[in-house]
Amino acid sequence: MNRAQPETQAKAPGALAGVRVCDFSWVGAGPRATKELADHGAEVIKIESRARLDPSRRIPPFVNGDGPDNSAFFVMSNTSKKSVTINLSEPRGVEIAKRLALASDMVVENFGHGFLDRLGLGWETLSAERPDLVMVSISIAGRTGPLAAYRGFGNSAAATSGQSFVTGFPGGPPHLTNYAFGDVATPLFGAVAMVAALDHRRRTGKGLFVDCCQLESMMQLLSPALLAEAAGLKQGAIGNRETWCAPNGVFPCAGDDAWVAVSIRTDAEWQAFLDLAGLDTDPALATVAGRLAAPERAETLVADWTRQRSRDAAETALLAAGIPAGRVQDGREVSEDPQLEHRHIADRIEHPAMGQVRHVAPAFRMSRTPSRVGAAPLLGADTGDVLRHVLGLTRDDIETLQADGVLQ
Amino acid sequence: MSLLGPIRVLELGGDWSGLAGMLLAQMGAEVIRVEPPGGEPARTRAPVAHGVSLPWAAFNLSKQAVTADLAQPDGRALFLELLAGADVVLESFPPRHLAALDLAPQALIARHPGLIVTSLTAFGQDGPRAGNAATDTTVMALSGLMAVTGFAEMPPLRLGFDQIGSLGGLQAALGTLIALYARGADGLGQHVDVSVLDAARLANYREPLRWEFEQAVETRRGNTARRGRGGFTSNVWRCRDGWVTWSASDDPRRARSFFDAANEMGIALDWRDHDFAQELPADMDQARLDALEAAVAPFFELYTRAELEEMAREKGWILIGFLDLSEAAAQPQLAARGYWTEARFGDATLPIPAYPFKTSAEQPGPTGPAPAPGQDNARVYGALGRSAADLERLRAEGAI
Repeated sequence: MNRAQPETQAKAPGALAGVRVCDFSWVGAGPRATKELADHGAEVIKIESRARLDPSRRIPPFVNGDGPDNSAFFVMSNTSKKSVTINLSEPRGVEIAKRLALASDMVVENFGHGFLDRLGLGWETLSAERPDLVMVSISIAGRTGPLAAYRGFGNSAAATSGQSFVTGFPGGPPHLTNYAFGDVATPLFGAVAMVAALDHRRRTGKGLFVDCCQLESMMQLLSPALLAEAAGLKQGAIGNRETWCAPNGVFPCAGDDAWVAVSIRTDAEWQAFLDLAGLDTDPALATVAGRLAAPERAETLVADWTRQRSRDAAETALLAAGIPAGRVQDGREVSEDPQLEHRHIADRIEHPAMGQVRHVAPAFRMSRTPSRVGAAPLLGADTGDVLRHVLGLTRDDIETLQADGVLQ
Repeated sequence: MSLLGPIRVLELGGDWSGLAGMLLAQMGAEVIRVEPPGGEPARTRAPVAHGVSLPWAAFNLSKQAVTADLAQPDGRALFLELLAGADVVLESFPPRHLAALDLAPQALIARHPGLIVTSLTAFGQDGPRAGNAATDTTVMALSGLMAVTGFAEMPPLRLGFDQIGSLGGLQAALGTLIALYARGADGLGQHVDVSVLDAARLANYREPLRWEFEQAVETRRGNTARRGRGGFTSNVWRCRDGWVTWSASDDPRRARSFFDAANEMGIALDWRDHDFAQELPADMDQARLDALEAAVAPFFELYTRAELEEMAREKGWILIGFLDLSEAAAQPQLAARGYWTEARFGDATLPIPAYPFKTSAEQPGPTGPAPAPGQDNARVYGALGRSAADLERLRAEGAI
């Protein structure tokens, strides 16, 4: 699906056309990275197994049935990919997977520690045969070090990076969010690494192993706070406040559970708020330093004003005054947000099993080589095609392998 | 050995681009911050230590810095000269800010067909929200993530420190690299229009689906989660020296093992004979789950995080301690991987990450301190043929 681009450009090859990725990754942290490549034209061949299903094919909501091809959850992380089923507990299956890996520019995996090595598909083996191969491994804590074998869950890096500790209200418990931030931030580091490694390879002819992990990705995002902590300024949970401006927070509006987020970054924005609310200037609050010294006083003035207004009226008035504001939107409002609609962030496209369902697009638009979001693949849909065209197997070869259970 | 080739990036605008530029610098690009004379306003943001704004410095490591007033003819002329040697302009001004300076992204690309201009803004270059003022907090509110973050009786909660803008920064780095890759094939650049809200929407992988297929909206559930048909199970527990994450397991053996350990300490004795295979915690109604959790809570308070983690390793429980920032930084895993290096901040030396991800070629690129405003004026502008006397005149005019 092209994204609001002229017809003539819709046929332009994606930026990564010609790149082939052999993608062993599953669940969240790997597939979200390779999705970014697939949406930009890379041929991403997802190696799957009917016997060892990608768990995200089993996550609801389901549409038109509840089989592995009916998960709308799976769709989000697997747009534009091809799916090949191979039984990796069969030696012939491992051999085919190896041939596919060696016929690719890049191999991606996020299995448990040592799994691919045990199959003979590890970096040492593959790079010995293909010195220009790029391999990207995504894990919880990295592939070396005392925690290399650590098997975490989706959110464990939130606990071990300190993110949960600094998310919450002062004096309260750490907060473990119901979404795994590491599972969305890490694949972006992974995708950055993938494209950089491809660029490096094109320039030098050399392959590379990339070891990208949730712990270090989360630490990198927390580095402003980590730096302050290292400088001796203890950093803890600060609720909705900012370290550098005040008031910054989420304020109650008229109605049930209605909130607006407001940030006042500068003295000019504070004066704009006072004008909007018809309040007199309090010299003690006129500067950033003054407001940071007494944030609750400034916050009370904002809350007293927002409480008298609907959320949307408050947001509109604040924005009109040039003050950063955003209503706290629920899942429905995000689905229907006019800006996100304008950006075509999740257009409906035809999926062979589910019909018209939303497929999320990249977060950036490219003017000359626009992304094109294709349907997420049915399980094993491309097995025959890929084995014929990439490995040169015949239809008879494939039928035999299928009959022997190698391609399940 | 650096991961990226000899790429020169000019980074402009204050609020969102820091991480994106830093990632490119950490991979070996030459990233030059082009700031107004005196530096970006963000350079004063608290907390400041050793004369350096730490939030600013943390995302501007390994860069260079020059000054140029783009609104003054001489400053603008310098920028245009600099542009001739640049591969990428990474900018996070509000939409149309550059156009108002007669430096619109498409015009710059028309002038230099190989140029990549990456614009990183809160909402993208156009659309109904495009011109709105925004911060990390307000974009998180709009993304739907905030509505499900926090505790039921409290206001919606943001993630600690600015995490949402970083998703946009990562996307901007990715878009820039993809555009560089495309340029490698035909030499042509393009405009990459990145939206922080789009990036945050992609991070919200559950709530839009919940609405679309279940016509339901989720609210703030604190540190609890619903896994089955029953109530919400707690997943954060207070122990002797802090907090651990654990939740009543639906693996009957694992659950039994945990309750056996508690029973041995005289805790949760009412659950001594419970058959977890017959009745899974995920299927218990809220009152029954509350009773089970209240019974077992004292067990955690007998032990430290380390003691509980040790038991968990032995017995196969899924349990892990929460670390504060100092503890997180000090974990042996990071030291073993060489995660930390150090840089100068004023009169102090502080630890910084040595790499954004590890590669088989040691470090992806060089790592160094954050630059002072205009510190590279003489070298960078000198390479354009500007003499010391020229630069002195420009400084006096306020152009640099």
